[in-house]
Amino acid sequence: MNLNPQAFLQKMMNDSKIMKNPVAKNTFEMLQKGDSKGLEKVARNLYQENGIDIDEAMKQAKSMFGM
Amino acid sequence: MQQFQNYYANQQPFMQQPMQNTYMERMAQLQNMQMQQQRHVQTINGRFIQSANEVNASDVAMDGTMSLFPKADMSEIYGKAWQPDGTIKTIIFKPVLEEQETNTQLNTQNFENDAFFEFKEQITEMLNGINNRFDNLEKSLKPKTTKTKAE
Repeated sequence: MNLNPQAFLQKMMNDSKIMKNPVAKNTFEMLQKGDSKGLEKVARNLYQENGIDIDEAMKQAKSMFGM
Repeated sequence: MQQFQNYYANQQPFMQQPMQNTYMERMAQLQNMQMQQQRHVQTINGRFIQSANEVNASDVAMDGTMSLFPKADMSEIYGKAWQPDGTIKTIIFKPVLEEQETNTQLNTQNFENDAFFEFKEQITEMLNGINNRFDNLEKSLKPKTTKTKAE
């Protein structure tokens, strides 16, 4: 099943079950618009809600690769 | 005679088949209806908790509905729902005791009674003032008439 990103996005947006999820709906809409700042904000909020500090996680990831 | 029996032997399955089919179809329809009815029953997401800190992000449903987390002692119910920006919105429901409601009703009744009595007192005061003025007027008029009589 080879789907290009646009087709994948369209497929996801046509899935009513996925689009019931407010976060997913907003994310796909931002993906379509190319709103990278909005996407980053959503990602940060999601990490924060799961008790993960995204900046700290990035630091740890960088140190793992010796960066 | 043999021909007659054969005739029925051939006809019976032919007669029963449509009947059986309609029965089976009807049963399938009924089962479908029951399944649909079961699917329409709405469930509530959530669970009982001891404290608000117990709720993880993964406990909150991502289907756009609110998950409810009642405290074990029922002192509060936390309603949590995912927001489009990736945050979780929390609404706290607190119990309102029926006694408190009746107390507030009584308090408003008392307030109304107090206001009424205050108004009544003001009116009585005003009437007393008017009466006093009349009395004073009467008194001021009386000596004059006596004087004229004396003259």
